[in-house]
Amino acid sequence: MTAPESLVVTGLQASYGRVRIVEDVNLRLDRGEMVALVGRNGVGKTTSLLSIAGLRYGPGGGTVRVGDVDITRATPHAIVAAGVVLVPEGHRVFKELTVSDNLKLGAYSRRRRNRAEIAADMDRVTELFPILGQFALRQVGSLSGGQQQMVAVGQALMSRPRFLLLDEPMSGIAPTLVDELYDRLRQLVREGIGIVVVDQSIERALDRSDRFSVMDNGRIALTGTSNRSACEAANAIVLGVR
Amino acid sequence: MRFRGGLLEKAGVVGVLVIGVLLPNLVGHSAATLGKLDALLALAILAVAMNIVLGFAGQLFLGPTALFAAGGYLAAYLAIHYEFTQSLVAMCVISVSASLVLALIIALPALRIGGFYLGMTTLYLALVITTVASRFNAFGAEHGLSLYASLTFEQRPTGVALYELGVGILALVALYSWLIRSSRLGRRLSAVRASDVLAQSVGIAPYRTKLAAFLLAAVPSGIAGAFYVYSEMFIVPNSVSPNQSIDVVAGLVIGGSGTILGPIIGVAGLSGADQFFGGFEKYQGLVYGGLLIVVAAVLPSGAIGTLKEQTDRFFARTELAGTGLREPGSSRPPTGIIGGLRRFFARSAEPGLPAPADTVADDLPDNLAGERTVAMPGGIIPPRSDFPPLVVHDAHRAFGGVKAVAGLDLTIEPGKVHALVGPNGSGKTTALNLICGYFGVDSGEICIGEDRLDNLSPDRIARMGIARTFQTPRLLASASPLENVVLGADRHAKGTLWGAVLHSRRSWVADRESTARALSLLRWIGVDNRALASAEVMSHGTQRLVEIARAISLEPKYLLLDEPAAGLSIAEVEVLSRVVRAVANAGLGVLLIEHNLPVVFGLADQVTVLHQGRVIAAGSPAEVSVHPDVIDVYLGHNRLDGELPVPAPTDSSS
Amino acid sequence: MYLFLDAIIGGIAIGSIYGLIGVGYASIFNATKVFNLAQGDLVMVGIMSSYFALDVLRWPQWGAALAVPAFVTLVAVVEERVAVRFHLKKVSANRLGWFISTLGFSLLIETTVNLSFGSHPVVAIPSPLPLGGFHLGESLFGYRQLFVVGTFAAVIVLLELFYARTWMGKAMRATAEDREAASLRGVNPVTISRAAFALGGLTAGVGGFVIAPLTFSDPTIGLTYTLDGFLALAIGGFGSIRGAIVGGLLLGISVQLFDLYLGIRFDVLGRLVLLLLVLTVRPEGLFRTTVARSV
Repeated sequence: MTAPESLVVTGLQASYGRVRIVEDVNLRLDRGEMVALVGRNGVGKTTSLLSIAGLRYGPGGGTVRVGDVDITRATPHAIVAAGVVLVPEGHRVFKELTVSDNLKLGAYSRRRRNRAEIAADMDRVTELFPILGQFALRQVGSLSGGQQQMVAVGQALMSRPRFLLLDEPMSGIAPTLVDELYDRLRQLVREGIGIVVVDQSIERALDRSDRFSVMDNGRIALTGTSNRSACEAANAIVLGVR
Repeated sequence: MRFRGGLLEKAGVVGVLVIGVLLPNLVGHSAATLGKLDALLALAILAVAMNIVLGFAGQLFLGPTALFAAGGYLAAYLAIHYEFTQSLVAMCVISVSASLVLALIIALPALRIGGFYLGMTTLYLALVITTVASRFNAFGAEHGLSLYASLTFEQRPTGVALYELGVGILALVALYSWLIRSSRLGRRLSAVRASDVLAQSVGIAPYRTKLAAFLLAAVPSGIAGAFYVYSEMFIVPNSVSPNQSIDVVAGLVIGGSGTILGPIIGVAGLSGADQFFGGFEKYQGLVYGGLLIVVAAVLPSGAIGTLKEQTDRFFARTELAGTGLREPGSSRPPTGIIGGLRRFFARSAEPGLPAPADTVADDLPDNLAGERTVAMPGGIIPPRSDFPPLVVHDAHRAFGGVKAVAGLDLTIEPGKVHALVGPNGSGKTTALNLICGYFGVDSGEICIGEDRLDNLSPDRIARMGIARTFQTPRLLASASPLENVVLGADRHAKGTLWGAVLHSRRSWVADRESTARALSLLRWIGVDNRALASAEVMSHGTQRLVEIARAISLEPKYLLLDEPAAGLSIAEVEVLSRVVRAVANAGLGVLLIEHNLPVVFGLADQVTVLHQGRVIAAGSPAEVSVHPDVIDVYLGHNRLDGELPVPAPTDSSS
Repeated sequence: MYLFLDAIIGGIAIGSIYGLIGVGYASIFNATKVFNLAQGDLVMVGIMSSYFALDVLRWPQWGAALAVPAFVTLVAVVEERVAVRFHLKKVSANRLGWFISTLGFSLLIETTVNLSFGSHPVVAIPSPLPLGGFHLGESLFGYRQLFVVGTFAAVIVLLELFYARTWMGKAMRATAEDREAASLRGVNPVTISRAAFALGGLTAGVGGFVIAPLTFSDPTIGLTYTLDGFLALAIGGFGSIRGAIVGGLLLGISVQLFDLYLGIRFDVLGRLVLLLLVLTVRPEGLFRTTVARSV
């Protein structure tokens, strides 16, 4: 019996050009759990996730493994094929394509498989975000920021990853929808997907996740199980109060 | 492309010219040989001319033979029919005129687009000229024009003397090119080459500068055409075809765009091999094509350019060939006549105000190396006063369906630091871009007193006294910190641009002043020792400081900084804070965009908080930090420890 | 009046040729933002290999119809590997880089063809269709011209279907817009650029094959095609197939009208004026998706 595989990041270093942003990040994500990644702006959360996903903008270091497979130096699309999918921050969707095409492209890595499955997934996404169903043939560029963010999240859901990395997926999405979205993510977790979520709101993130990590100055400053008291400690670090 | 002409390159050019003069002794005096050499000369002159646009200004001009042909054909035509136009001088004048007119016709529309559009349009121009020439009987149709058709035409000088004259012309054109490159205009060209955005941020109008480069290149192109016709005694469509154009460009690029020597060697080498090794011609395209692919990938500066870069790195640099100046040694006090002169000029660089007690001169921080910096009379940053605040009123801007900025109100007061904060994506950088003119507002106003800013181009706004930095520092990668900062200091250089090109006394003085200003700014901000290394090897923090120094050197009224603290170490943030404080103390209005809250609250007099394009709070740091909406945005729903960190009030003139 | 009609008809035929070239550019540009300076030469290779297959090797028409596009596609794929891929990997767009590189490759193509065929006579190339056509009043619709127009129409339709319906087509459009985001969705940018060039080569090959009977086996025609193709896209707008269509047809018709009313000596000037006009009035072309702007 093989152990369920995990996404293990060890000693990750990453730069943006000449600036070293990520010094030493260690993260472990198992299938079937949600980890919240929090921290101030500029502390290295986005750079870490981009680096894990294969987008590197400067010299780096450390290792990233999925189970036995080392994906540290792999190209982004190969990493997607390995089952690790990132939804970057800032609704980076394809504004000149339609909503429907965008969602379909989310499933690009599965395109050779069952068409019916993909269609079914599309239905589930539009169930969660009915407005996307309404706007299916509209160009994404004409949608509002929040709606574009929904498309981005929808793309991620279409990819049926093993590990999902979400960089501020909730930005611009109305609070009630945020709750529903978290519900959906929790369901994915129950189905066996490992999820990392970066959220501006510490309380919300810790409330819904299983574990958390706080980043500060390019490193993981604190990690643990998500609960109320952890919230206080996390806040303290994020605010820089010592 | 580097500013530093360097002794080596000058030696190289002189050496090549000497070889050129001696060439007939090596390869023979026959009329045929001289004819080939003359043609080579004409092409070399054309390449050096083209380099002004292609290499210095970085614009894809692919149709040099168009200008060459227009000028040459017209000169030939007139020479055949009218006796008074038969001298070389007259032909040059005619040719240059035609070339200038054609350059204008093409440049006016095509330069606005730039990029490969320009390349294709100019290539098309070459095709048009050739086709037109080959279809009109007046221009000799397929057979071209021959000066032998005129009974009165006499080639004087002729033979070897004519060839040597040609070498002389090449030398003059090389000098012309060098004069341009090493002047203030040359620095503007390199800014435009790097990026339009960079150029605009220091007040350079890209379109006008590119146009100037075009016209400057058109002049020697015309001369090349005249010389060609005069020496060959004929001109046919084939010698000015687009293919020929491509060959010249290929020679230029392979030899090294951006250098003086490169085009000469490239064209002479390739075309020469062409002319003198008969069998080569068939395979010429393979060599050109292969070399182009290799050069584009591996040696973008071409053969000579790469050689220059390597030798520059090898030899210690003590000369700023741009101005022919020596960098005032940081360890040697100025002495002697030169020292006295320098002191004299340095004093006249400042506006000559007495130094009030609380200006920057007394408030200099030690630079990072801990050296006490030298105070300059009048202050590093000349104090400013009596100008109105910059006011943004109800600005809106959307991209597609996304509202980036919705109803922004902001006032930057002189002498105060105003911080604009907010989470990622809140619209801070868009707001900055709106003020600086990189985007237009959909509605709303931006004004300084009576003057409206919101319809103006970025370079115009920069010239009105608004300097900015970028999230990722935009510097000239292969230039030194000094050369980067001088771009800003140039803005207030005395004397005209044409005087600068001619290297007049006044421009020489102006260059010294700009250099002195730039150096003192760099020293003050802490980038002294590395004043001559190139920007691309500097650390991120240093790059930031250099960019800020450049902005300050514009002597602006307002300084707008886009997330300057990002990626800086604690020590560097300290220096940054002191710089910002000093700038504000000197009377400038500062807009600081940041999301590093502790830095902001320590520095700012006023804070405006943005969230998803809207202002959610505005006021003093103390007020804003306890504002419920702001806490909400930064901490989520958590109000447990509902306060943002504000350092205890300190003496803010750190 | 019938001369005018003739010009329109002829214009549509020539316009289809320009359109075919333009569509090749557009396919590559859409996915990679590279303007392939060797595109006209690829069409020329199509023409010359048609000549070689039909006149020299004496293959049947259907054989050449299959072999020629395949061969040109191969050349285009080689070009991508040799001259372009390196530059696509670079994060910052170095303007001179791929431009000079594709320029160099076009020189390679031209010289190779010249060396292979320079000594051969410039002749007409046999066509699957006979000369002649059918008449509408005084005007003649040549069979061969119609073949070009028909092929053009077919190519357009297939391309539109490709971009709209297939995975690869959508992935191409996504990559054109945001290469990084596309790779995060699992799209391999190298596959895309190779496929884009293959598409460009395929269109060039098909175009070359159907154009061949209308022209001569002239190896020097490449640059002219390159420039005409650019002109078509400048008018119609880069970044869309529609642009290539409209631009090509408009250009073709304009050329014929210039020929008719300005005479053969001024038609090139007319084209230049047209280009300058377009650049001044509407530089992004008629159908704008992306604007080729200076940085």
